Amino acid sequence: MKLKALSHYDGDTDTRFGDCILLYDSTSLVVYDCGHTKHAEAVETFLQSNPSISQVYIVVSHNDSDHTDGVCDLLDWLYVQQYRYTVSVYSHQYLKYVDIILDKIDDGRRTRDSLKQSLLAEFDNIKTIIESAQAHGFLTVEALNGISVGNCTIVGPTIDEFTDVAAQAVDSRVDNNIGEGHAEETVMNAASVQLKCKLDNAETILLCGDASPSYLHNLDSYDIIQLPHHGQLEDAQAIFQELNDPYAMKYFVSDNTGSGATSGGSDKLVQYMKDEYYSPALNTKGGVVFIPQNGFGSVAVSKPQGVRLGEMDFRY
Amino acid sequence: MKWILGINKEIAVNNDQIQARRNYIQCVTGAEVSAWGFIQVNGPVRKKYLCCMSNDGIDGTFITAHINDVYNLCNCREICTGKFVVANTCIWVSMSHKRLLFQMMSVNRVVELFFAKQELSVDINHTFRQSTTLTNIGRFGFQTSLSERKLFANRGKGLMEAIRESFIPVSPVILLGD
Repeated sequence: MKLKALSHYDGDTDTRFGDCILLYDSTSLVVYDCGHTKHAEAVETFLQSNPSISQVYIVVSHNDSDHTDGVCDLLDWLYVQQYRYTVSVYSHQYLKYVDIILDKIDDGRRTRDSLKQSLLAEFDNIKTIIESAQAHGFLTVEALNGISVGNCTIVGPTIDEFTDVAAQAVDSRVDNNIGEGHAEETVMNAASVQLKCKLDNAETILLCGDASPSYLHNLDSYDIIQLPHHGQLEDAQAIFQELNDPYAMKYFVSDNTGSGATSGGSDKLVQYMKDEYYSPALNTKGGVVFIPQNGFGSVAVSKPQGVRLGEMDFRY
Repeated sequence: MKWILGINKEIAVNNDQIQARRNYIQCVTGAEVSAWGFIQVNGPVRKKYLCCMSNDGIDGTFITAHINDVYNLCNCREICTGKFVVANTCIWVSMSHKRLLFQMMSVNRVVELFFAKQELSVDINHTFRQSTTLTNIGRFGFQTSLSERKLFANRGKGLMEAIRESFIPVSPVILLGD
């Protein structure tokens, strides 16, 4: 698989385009989030210029608009292609877990039906996407841990984690954040669907949307990690802390957050990584990101060679 | 504190890397650092090493070199009579870290020894080794060990605390599993 992470358009760095990350081979395309209609158009152009692709998998990481706003446009376009593509949409389907979520809330006031209504209201963008996909006759699949998405695999969150999130999202009595210290994420972000994929150069990448670092597991097993929430510094620091050797990892940031005062983004992270002598992350803020970077790569990337401090001249 | 570097080509590499290492020492100590100079050790093998001093008031030595060179250096009274030695090197042969500590304790009973974090590797003779690899990753500008990278990340905690968190203290106690 190759990765192409979309960026901004026509030099417009003010608009919040959100995320859209493509993973593809000669016959299939995985679209991980589609946060803007411009991204949807770019995916359409990509498919037109890659006519051998017939399978399209769309993964919706979480409910926020900067991850979802282009999905329905893309679904509409795929529909009018007259069955040229087999389309599957992966997202959390919270209603299937209403009983577990009801148990977790346990406030004695909610009924099953009222909870369903609350969940539909809270996760409104996902609801619209699933309804649209089903109306077009596309397959909708629960994004559960261990499910294959083409040649990629969903690796989180667990059912327990995302039902915690759903419970917290609809429960007005509890704090609306998940995580510790500065690495707190809103409940909406925290349980972003995480996708693992092996790239053509044999490197394994973790895509994690806006996930809370506390929901990311086995981080040392990856070669490349997406630093979540568009490169938010505190989340990245929590990930660096978790890794055995954070300098040995490669990082990817999808930062198309625009110039709004509250847009967030990766500026503080970029400075931090420079100050701390990290190699810079691949960042969509500077343009479209390709991994492998040369667009080719069936050969495994060799790890940096080093010197072992015992091998030479050992005698005593 | 004394900072000693093996002059082997694969460790010192070139002048740029040596100067980058000096900048690193400035960062982790927060102190002025002297220019690199040569020291010569008259052990079984007379050998030169690079050395600089950080003006931090700490009586210890940090050595980045092959394990046999660390043995050679720790025979020196000026080094083993300090409060501690940080051996940024491989254990390589089982118990060599303990033997080094015992060698120094025969001169200075209260000396502390820290070793770089080790990984398990297999050498060309198919023998398991505890080893440390210097790799040019990140933007340090020179080849670092995992423990050196951790020392840098922990530098805000003060040098001694950072050393304790980033390197492994060697205990004189020998356990069954050692």
